[in-house]
Amino acid sequence: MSTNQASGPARVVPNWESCIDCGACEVACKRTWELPQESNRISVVRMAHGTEAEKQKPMQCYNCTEAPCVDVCPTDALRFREDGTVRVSGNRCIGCHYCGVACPFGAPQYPDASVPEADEMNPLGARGNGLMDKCTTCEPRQERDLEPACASECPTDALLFGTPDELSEELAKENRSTPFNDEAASVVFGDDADRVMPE
Amino acid sequence: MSRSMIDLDRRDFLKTGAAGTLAAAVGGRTLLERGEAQEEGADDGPPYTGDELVKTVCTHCSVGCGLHLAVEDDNVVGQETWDDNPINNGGLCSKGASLGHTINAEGRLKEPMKLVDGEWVRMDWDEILPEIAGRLEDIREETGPHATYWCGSAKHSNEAAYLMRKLPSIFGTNNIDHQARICHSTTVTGIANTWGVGAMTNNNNDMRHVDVNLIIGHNPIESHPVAWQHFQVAQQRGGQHIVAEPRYTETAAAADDHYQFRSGTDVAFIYGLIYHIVENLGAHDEEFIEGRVDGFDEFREDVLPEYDLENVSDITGTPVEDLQSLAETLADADVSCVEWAMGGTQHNNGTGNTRAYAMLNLVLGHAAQSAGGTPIYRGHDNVQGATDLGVDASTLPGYYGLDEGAWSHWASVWSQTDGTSGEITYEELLEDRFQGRQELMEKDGITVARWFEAVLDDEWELYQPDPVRAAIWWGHGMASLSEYKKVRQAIEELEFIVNIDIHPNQISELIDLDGDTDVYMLPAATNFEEGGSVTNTGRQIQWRHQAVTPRHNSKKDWVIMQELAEELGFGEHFDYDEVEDITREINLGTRTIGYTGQTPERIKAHMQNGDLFGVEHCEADLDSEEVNGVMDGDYYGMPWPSWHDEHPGTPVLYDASKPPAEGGMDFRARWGTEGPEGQNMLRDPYEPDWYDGGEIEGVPQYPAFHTVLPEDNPAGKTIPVEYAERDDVSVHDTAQALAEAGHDIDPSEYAEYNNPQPDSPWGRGRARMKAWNLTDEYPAHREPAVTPRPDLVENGYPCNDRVEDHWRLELDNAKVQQDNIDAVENLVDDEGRTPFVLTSGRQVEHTGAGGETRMNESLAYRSPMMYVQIHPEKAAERGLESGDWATVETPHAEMVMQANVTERVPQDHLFAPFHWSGVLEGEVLTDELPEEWTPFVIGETVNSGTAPAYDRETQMQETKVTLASVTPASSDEIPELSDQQQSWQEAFLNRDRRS
Repeated sequence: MSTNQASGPARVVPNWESCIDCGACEVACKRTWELPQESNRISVVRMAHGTEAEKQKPMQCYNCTEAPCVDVCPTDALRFREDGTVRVSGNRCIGCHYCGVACPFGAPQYPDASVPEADEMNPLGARGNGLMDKCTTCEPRQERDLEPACASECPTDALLFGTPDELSEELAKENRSTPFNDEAASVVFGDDADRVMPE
Repeated sequence: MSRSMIDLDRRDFLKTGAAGTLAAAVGGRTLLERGEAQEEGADDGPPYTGDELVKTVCTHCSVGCGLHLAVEDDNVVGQETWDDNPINNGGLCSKGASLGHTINAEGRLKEPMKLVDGEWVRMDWDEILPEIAGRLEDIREETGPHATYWCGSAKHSNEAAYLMRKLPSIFGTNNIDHQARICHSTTVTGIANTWGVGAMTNNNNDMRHVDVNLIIGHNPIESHPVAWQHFQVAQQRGGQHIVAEPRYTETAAAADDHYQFRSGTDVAFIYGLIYHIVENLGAHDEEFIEGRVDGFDEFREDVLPEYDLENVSDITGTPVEDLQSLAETLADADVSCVEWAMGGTQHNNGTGNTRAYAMLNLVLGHAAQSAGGTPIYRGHDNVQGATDLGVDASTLPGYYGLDEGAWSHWASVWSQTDGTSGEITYEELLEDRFQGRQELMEKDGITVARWFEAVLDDEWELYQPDPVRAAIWWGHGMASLSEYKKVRQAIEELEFIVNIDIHPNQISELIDLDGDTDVYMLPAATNFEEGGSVTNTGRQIQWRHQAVTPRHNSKKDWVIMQELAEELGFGEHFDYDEVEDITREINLGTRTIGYTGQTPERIKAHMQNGDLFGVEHCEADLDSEEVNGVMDGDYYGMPWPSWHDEHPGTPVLYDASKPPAEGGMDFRARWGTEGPEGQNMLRDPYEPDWYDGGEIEGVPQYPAFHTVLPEDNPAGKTIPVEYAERDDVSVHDTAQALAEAGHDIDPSEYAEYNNPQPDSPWGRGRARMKAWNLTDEYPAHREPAVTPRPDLVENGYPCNDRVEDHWRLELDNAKVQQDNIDAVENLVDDEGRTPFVLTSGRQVEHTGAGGETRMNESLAYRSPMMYVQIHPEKAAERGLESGDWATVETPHAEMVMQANVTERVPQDHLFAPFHWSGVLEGEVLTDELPEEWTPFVIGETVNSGTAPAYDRETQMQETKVTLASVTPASSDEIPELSDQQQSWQEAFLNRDRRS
């Protein structure tokens, strides 16, 4: 089930040329949303640390155009909204983890911490009690023309925020690249992948 | 504080569009137009945006990142980025992003408390301060003020730090010190003794212009992450960062190259590079050396030959080809710089290390320019300011020292200042405050590195009439001190200790509830609950606007000082009306290093107009219409020296290619005009492009530039400050004008300096290869006190010999080294495996001794494990996997830590972070603590096992190198951590396994 949106929603994508694993994104996210610590809506993934291949990439939900999580969810808790963003509804989620298995990026989180029910029902609120929780691209901040907290506070431009058009421009700049291979790029961006991803 | 109380007079500097919202900026606070989403009320849930945004500076490291705190109803409800602060451009790290959690932490000290019969009892401020003051006065009368110990903080604002020195000065002792001792004291002494002052010669933004940067003993990605944005720009432009150090750190991975050498062999390593540059490549800059440096020829003849590449390779473990290749890279560079932090400073010959780094840069002629010199990275947010303002046992504020001239100068300042009602004379200070003990008044006090020896008074000779009976601990975590077990013993022997802090810190962990020591806990306000200035590592000064009132029953540091001074009977020297009055007193008195031009008004104006300062050079855009002449040409934060209130600041020290009025200067003529061998200590004449008047000559420092005080305006020009900058008068003219104005100056002493020319008040001197006033006149390789190479100790590279009265204590590194000469054999374990070199350092999530960051939920979660890094092969030999407990035994402690198996360390080194406490040799210390005083995460304090050796000049601790064996811990040795910490550790270990 994919959206027919020509340009798709604004997303945060990782630029792994410059991530230094400082943790600002992780802390900014949890602080902004008052999340339990176990809720890693964004998390820096470390690879081969201590070797010449050392690298790190901040990863989160990308509201994929071809979102596998939406495909596999057995209760229809995961859906596309009109703007192309993917949201999970607290009253349908049963915490089965299928979405976590399907997501190529590990975005879904299942914090055990107990969260008041009111928050769970809020599509932008924190989930807990084992239900699925993930990045919402800081929608209320976007409404105020602010970038998501993670991209805003990253000190080294390791998180790029924008619509597919804007990302296409950002990624064309020097020292910018994402960890997405062709398959991942087409999951995230759908038909826009060729346009967004640099050659 | 309601919005109507905000000062609206600064509308000249209003700016709209802050943070991309409709906003009106007033002073440091931005009032937000509430958008629709917000009108639904904050009850709808996060993100909380608050009513106001307050500009401030992070409290953690010395980069000096700006940010906005979101405030509503006197509560910090969130943060927003401050995108046009030219230093960080909105960026933060995990620590800066979590400031709200620090301010609102449950584990803060909330009320004044005293330990009574093993229980913590609440007291009122107006009971506890008189009680403490009374006891201090009793000690003063019975024994003397020298029987007290005062420790200040690298996290105090400049104003609080300045008072932190003033208080014990008037109380009557020099036993006052702070974290700079254990961080960069060797830098300050080493570099000041090389070219004038010991500070970063450039700043964060200048790192964008790097051509070749040798990072030796610093891991900026871990310790100064936000600064790395500028380092990355240099790489994008083709510049190179080269890391030289024992570990393959995070920075080494991101850098362009990595060279390895054994911890503690820096001097040999650097000398090997210099050897190749000079003797093989002939690439030393003869013109620069000839014109601006002293002592190169003797150095080349007498010192360098011993450090040929084979010898250096043997000492350091670095292959000869690597030494050659690195030397060649440096020699080929257009300009190179040498950058360091604790990896270089924390050694028994740390002063020698820092001097060697500067000497390398001098030899290449790459000093005194942008992207050259020494980008030295300080630690805490205001360690630079606290150092400059003299929270130091060897000096009054501004590096004036402790002689009669220094005390007289400050007596004049403390009298003349408009900020206080008091007056004091030198005689009063000597006879009354110091009880006539001139020797103690002029003598270096006890350092924080070995303060415990002055209490214990057993193992080492003490050179003051009595041991220390009581201590005031004001914002310093004890776990960052080596000989941590002795720290514990000393606390037990004190009559009382006062801990003035945001958190109970390690004192609460170490204190024996059944012991005899009285403990007072006074709750201090954070840096966000008081206004004040702060100096970053780039010598740039910013202003923290007060965001909210002090939480709970805490008080601002400077207010506590004011009240304590009142109780001690000299409140008239501390009765400031507002914090800016203290800044003005600093402007008035701190003339040695130009803390004069940075008035509160100018600092705040810079904060208000960050967008006018370019990111390349932090210079106010000359073409901008809004500058209107006020900040034209200013450098952001007016990096010191700023000699008067129209001086733009000095972004790059010693840069003779600029006119003095624009921040230009030469090496400080600190050692007069002639050296001990009659050599010329002034620079050779030169003809700079910016000067039409012909030749500029070498000149001494301008007479009395640091002691003449202005009449009215504390930041005004005095005769020497004005005359220095003018191109129509000479040093001699200055001396004459001073004599005519009644000052005690003999113009004939300056007769030969009669060339009218513009200078900085520091004159135009030479840098020194040879520091004839130091024990090691030239740096020398000295083996660590606990060394894996005892043969090198016997064959020419021992620690320094015993010295008496070294900061009032006996120091004998040679003896400590001899006592540990067999350590490399003794630590061979039961399987016959040789010990490792154990070094220590930082983690990005934590600062200092961790008393604040381990009480912060976000930071504790991200870094929940104290560990020892061990190479995979060595771990496998021992059956250790990441997370497993191991006993780490040094000659001085048997510690228990969890393994972190990684190739970051070479096979013969271990690494452990020092930010940890709560476990001491496997014993959990936090079981007796009230729950809210228990940090989220605890761990072994590596400093119980580090070497008890200290720098020969500054008494810096040698925490970067000792020997240790590692064996799996038996189950009864394993300390029990809380369930929460264990579960966070599981998440931490799993995140690495996931990838």
